[in-house]
Amino acid sequence: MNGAGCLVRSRAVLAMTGAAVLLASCSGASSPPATAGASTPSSATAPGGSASPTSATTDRLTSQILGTTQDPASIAAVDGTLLVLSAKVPAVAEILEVRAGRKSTLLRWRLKSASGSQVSARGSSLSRPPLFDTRAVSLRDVAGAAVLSPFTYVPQRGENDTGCVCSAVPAGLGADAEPMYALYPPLDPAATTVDVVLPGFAVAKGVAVTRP
Amino acid sequence: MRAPRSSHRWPAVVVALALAAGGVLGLLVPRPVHASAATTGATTEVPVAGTFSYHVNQDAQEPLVRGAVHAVRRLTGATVVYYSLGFASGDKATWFGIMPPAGLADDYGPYDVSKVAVVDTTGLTYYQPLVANGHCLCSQTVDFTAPAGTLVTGFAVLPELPAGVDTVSVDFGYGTQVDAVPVGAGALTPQSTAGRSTARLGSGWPALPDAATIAAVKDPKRYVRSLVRSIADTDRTVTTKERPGRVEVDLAADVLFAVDESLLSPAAQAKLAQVAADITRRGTGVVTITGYTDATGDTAHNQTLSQARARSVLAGVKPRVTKAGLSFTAAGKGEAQPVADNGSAEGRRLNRRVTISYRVGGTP
Repeated sequence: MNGAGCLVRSRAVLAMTGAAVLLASCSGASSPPATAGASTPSSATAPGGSASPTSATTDRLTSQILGTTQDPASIAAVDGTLLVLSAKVPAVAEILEVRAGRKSTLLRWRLKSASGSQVSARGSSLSRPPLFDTRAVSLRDVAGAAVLSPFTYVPQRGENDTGCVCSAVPAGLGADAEPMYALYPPLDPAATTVDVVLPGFAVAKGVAVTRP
Repeated sequence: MRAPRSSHRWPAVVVALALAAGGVLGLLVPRPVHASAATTGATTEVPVAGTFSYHVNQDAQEPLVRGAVHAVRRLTGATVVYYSLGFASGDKATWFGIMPPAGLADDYGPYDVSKVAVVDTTGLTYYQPLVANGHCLCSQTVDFTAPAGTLVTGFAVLPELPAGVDTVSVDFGYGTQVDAVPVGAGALTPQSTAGRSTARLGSGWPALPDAATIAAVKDPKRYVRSLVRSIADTDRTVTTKERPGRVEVDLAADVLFAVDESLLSPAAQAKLAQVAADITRRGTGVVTITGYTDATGDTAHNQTLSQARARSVLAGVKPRVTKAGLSFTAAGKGEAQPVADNGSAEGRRLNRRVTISYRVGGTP
């Protein structure tokens, strides 16, 4: 969960009455905040209700979303190889978060070249031929005695589930990590950790699960 | 399509914005923020349900696209997703490549930002943008033009969600996900008057197609797709894939049979009993049993082996199903339709399987 009902809210006021700013955190994320921490209120309360505060607010929100913040720390990292045609491409998978929700589980991770050099990554070793998604990345829920795979779907004019609710395999990897995502069925309510299993990689064992 | 112009105006807004304590929208961290102002007056909300990022063309050599899903809202007979995309100041704003190309087999055009889907994991349903009169009811890539450091908002209109759905996930380009997005009611206002399918964040929300355009969609169900849930036991000997109305159980051949044999092993009995119990409980119609092998060895032999294994599973399951009115078929497909890479031992193990599929009634 990442913020049902959480809003950046601006209020149009016809008369300025000294707006009080209330801070309210509804962050469900467990990892520490990134650097552009904005606990300091932005009191964009120009007198007279001019349009300029709108711009100030928009700028602030934009800067958050575009954030020049540092990358979140990984909670696990495993080395492995991607099979690209017949070549084995060394890579590093970093797990960022396993977030268990009521209806689904979100895995966020990132993938980068082990050497730091630019390499092609487009193979099917994290999927099944001829697909280039990451459906073979699974979560092993020991508490629930289950291995979860990402949700898949049947595309238009298709009968088989060739679509995946997960990231495609990146076209290229480098020193900069590619953000990766996958949506899974809900974990067992008792699960506090999972193993993240990526074919061709060491198993990331005992990865902590966050819950909203 | 081009969104119709709107007569709405973005009101003069005086804003008191507070950012959540520690609630920064980090580079990869969907991190909600919540601010409120103790003022009076009309409320204009800029919701942020979650953020995401990916590289242009999903290539690490390209600039990083950063974005947010703002809201999922119910319209009359439809659903709309609002989102925004942009590039950080200092990065090159490379808008070409922000969205994967449309598939050859779908209805979308090359300029449609069509990879914006809503995922209902409870109803096992996947919603894609609607198409009316040959045009996607979604923003166009050509309308995403802005310098780095700004956010451009877009939209996609999807089929109507069932009444009980209160939260969904959003599946964005290249498989980026934002989960647990609340489903609200009504289009966001004010709408932009820019006459484009996008708008700069803060200049109003993109104007949506009018009700008549949405109503002109010929077959909305075409854009409602089956979602598949796949769960295996921890030793991955039984994998159950379920979509609305249908269950498919993959049984690992290594547990059912000895190498190159088609006689059921003792360990197979418990697995088959488990499947038979579910068929008895909710199965309807025809139960189809299909054998598969890996790609090792002779193709013709694998075909024969897969057929023999399917027949053995049929003989093991059918007597355990106590529900009347079901029929059973068994067939072998040999090396065809692999589910994993035959180039690895693990992939070959997964490909050696017998699949039992059957229809089920009721909700998934």
